[in-house]
Amino acid sequence: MTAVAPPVPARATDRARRARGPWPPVLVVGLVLLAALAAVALLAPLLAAHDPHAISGRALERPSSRHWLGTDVPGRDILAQLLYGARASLVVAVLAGSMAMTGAVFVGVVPALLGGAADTVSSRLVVFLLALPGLPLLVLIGALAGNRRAAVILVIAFLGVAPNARILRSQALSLRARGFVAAAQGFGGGPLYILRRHLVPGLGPLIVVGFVNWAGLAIGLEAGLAFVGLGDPSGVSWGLMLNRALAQSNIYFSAMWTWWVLPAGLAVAVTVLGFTLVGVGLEPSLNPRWLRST
Amino acid sequence: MTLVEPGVAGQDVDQHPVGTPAGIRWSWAKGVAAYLGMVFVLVTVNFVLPRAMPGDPIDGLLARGSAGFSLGEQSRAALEDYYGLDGSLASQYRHYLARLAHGDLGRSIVTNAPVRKEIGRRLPWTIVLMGSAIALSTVIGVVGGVHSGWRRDRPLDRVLLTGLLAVREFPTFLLGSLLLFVFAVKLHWLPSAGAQTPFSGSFNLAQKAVDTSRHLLLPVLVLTVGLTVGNYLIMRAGMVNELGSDYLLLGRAKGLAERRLKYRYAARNALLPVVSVTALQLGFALTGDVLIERVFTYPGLGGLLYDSIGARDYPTIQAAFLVVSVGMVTMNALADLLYRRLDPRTAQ
Amino acid sequence: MTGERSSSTSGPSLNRRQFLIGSAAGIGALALTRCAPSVRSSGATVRLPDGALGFPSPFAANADLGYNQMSLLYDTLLWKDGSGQLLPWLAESHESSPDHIRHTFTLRDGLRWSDNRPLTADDVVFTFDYYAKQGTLSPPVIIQPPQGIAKVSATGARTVEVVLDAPYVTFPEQVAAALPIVPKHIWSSIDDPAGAQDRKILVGSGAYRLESYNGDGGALLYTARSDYFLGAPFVSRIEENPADDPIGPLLAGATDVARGVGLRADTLAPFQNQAFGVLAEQGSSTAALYWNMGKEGPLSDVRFRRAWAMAIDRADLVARLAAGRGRPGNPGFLGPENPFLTPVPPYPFDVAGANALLDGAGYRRRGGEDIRRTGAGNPLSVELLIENTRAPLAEILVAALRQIGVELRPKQVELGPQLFGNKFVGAYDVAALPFPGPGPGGPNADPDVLRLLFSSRVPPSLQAATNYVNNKFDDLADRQRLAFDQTERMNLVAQMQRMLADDLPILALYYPETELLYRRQVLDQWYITPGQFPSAYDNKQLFITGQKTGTAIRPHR
Repeated sequence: MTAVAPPVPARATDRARRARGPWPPVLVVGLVLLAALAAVALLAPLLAAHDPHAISGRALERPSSRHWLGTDVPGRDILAQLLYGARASLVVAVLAGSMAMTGAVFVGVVPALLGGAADTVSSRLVVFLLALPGLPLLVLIGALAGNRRAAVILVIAFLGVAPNARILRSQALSLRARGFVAAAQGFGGGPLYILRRHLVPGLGPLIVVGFVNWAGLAIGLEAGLAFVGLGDPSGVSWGLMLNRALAQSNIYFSAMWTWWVLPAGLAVAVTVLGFTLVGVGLEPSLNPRWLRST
Repeated sequence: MTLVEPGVAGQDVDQHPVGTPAGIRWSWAKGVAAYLGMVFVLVTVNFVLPRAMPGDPIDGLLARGSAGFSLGEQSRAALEDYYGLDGSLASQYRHYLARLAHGDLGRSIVTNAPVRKEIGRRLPWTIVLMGSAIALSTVIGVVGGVHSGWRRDRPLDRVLLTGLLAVREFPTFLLGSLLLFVFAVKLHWLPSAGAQTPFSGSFNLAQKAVDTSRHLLLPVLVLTVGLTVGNYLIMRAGMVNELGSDYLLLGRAKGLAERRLKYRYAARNALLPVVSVTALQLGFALTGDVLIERVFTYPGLGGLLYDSIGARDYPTIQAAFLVVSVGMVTMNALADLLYRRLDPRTAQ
Repeated sequence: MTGERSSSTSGPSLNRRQFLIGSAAGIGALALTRCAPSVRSSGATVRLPDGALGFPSPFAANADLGYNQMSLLYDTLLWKDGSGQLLPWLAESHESSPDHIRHTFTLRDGLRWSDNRPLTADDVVFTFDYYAKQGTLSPPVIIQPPQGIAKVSATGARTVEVVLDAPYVTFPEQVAAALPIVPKHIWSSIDDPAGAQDRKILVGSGAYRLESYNGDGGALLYTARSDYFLGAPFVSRIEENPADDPIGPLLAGATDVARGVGLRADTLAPFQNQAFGVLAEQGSSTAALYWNMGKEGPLSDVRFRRAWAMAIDRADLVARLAAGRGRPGNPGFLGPENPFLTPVPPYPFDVAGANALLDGAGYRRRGGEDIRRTGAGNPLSVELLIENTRAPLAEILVAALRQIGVELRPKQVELGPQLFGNKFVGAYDVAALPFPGPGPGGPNADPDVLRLLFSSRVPPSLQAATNYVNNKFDDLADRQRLAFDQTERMNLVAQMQRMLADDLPILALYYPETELLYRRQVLDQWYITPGQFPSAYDNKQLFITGQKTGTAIRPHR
């Protein structure tokens, strides 16, 4: 690898990209993981031997042929909860993450690019939202909205708007100030062109990283919200499983954590990993300059 | 100093041209006024919101202790009078503002002790804990991101990426309780609770430093793990974005050292979103992390915020959340200033 | 063109400097784990795993834990030891008139406050008057102004006479052995006792001095007063440090005692050896179902409630929720270790019988429906108010009641503002409450607790049954309170329990076992005080004397 990279003509970039193949391995792995999780979520009734809500065994049974991962405190099958939990967790993660980032784009990016009064108002709004006392707000919403999954998703999405808007806004301002937008408009580039050539490469990775972060947090947040009165505590999700497991005092004294805490924790980890890998794998297609750096 | 894309000028977005004395004074005045206005609105929100939650502090007191306490009409009225909960909302608000103007944050309903004392006790520990974690995670994330992005897809990048991602995916409180069990209970290498060894007033400065560090080690480690990857990924993405820039091509053609290009130009440009993220993290720092504080019995603000909500302890909620809000707003303002210094073109 | 060699090769680009920094950080972290500064102490030291619960003055200490912490500083006229007997404490003798209305206490000679002023009968009289003047103290202060006292006067420099308005049998235990005596010269100038939180006002007669206070939830340090009237206390230093989970620090050697409820066998395993002792108590707390009998409909129908008692397998609750350690709930309410416990109809687990009962009471299932309907056609659907951390209990109850055709809708809420708040004003159908709340005197306490919970002549309180009116019961309750003859009192309380089992205003679901784990090395005679008050677990009598009973101080080995 020499110290100076020779100038690369545009056609060579496309050739290089085609030579690599369209799919970076990272992206493939991520998509496979997510697809597997989605399959588990869909096929849960077929895969699980018991109903996750039913009390099908004694309390805290060890793994056996009847209950592959044992049972929890009331006596429900842990494996069934793990399989059915994929549904809730995936739905919450995807919806909350995408809604949060959509909101962040509208509140953070668009006003920043438009400039003027819109920008001033939105920046004050973002700071105000960030400074709001979150926890009392959640308790209040919990009391009003009650035990509905839709309320939980909306709340988690709402919580994600302001922080991500802040990050995106700064980057959008930077892009605008660098003059790409003005220059492109100057020689007649339409909005779609600006979007593709400048905004997507500049903001795309941040949006994707933000989505991945927030989707991962959503899974854990969903369970925590049960404690302030939001959400359906009688539902099934990985976050709730972790909460119930860790509510057991001194769980590490026994081997119980290996079949109760670990699977749910790993499930969360694998899901977030899937999203992250997809995000990292999408970077080259979002940002053509990526390839020029080779 | 940043290399400017050839042929593009900065834009004026304000009627007062950037850089003139009048322009600077006007934008300062507007900034300060906006800041103060925001603080006032937050003061009001922090007053109204706790009172909108279901239940009141008297019920919260029952959860703290009661020997089947007889709370008849008369005694409830007496308690409400004592705690200043009677009277209209407007009059309570006036009293609240009047006391706040004197710096009096009121007395906790649960403990009857001045709120200022409790916050004062916990604030330094929270700053130390969160500050260390944020500083550490920013440094590791930035350094890792710079190297990873520069050498994208090389072995170092792959190792860092998979390693950091793998470690981060676990919920932090899970990691925390596991580490505490292993290192404190089983191995006895580290203390099992608190921010300092109890009754250690007789320690000299060096001993205190070591003692505090020992107590900080696990919580900071756990928090850092959770915070690092965000910075790392953003820095990495930003570096990669810069890699394809024309100015780097120009720089290399001019014969600048690779290292200089990497750090002074590419990294500096890619650093801007990281500043936003770090500022956000610092803004949220004062809220502490209630789960980590519980697991390690660390006396931070997170636990105070959470417990005061459960007890509907209005004075504590008002004061503690106000401190946090002001911290967040201040951090934002500082971040904006820093952003402008790093990239003067974003000045408005 | 040559750049710096290291950054243009294709290997990893960490240079030597960065590697050294990384290694230094790693070694530094490792070193920290090995060197631990420690605090020196001498004499018998006991380390407890609790933070301060409120400022340790009699008017600001919260719940039973705070009361314990305060009792180290302030004494009472009498005090209970590990055998349950009331010892002469500040009062060297206690006499009551034959009608049990006049009580005379003679204080010991030479008593002094911690600031060396003498403790006299005037202080005792002042204490009673000062409490009476306060009216209502904040709920977490568990010793409220005593009721039923007509007059308190000093009949000599060291003698006090207390005149009651009726011969209350609970007076010695619940007043004389519970009310902390406070110095007149400190408190007579304080108008707001709850707000007085300056360390200087903590002048007490107690065996210990408070050396260190670090705010609510913070650590406490007590050192013994060698001039204490019983002698130099056996334990010379008490450290209280907050710990989220007390089991870990006990095992790690950082504390000397830990309390648990329904601990699993694997958690207890490391303590089953010579170095530790394990004590267990059955019935110190319970999870109880409260029905709001003020609401019309099935809730006020006793057959409906009895069907619930038969549909819920209480022994199974012990197995599932308390790791098998505990006892099923008693329909007569008193706990398994209560000396006044009487056998009552047990309502054995019988789903078929419960179904038959409801059929007979007119609640029928329509067609192929699962849920029964009342005579008026409304479905038997009831809302259960329960703490959000007790989800497993809610789920088991839902499943159990479904089997008898009752739909239970759990509403999981926060404990204080929503559960207690709503229960107190009667805004609920059925509520699952912990009993006792955070306070002393649970199912194993003095049976006067039945009067406080079930009598309609007592002002409504948080833990009391809602709208339960039974005049015969109220009469019995009033009588047992004045019955000094043990047999007579036993008889009355037995009748009360049978009435409660018949009417079921509250159903105690199960009593999880409470365990006390302690390190033998420092103190090997830990006990759980019978009657659960004044001080169920850290009774100061143990720290002062080093043994389970009496006032004689055990010599050090």
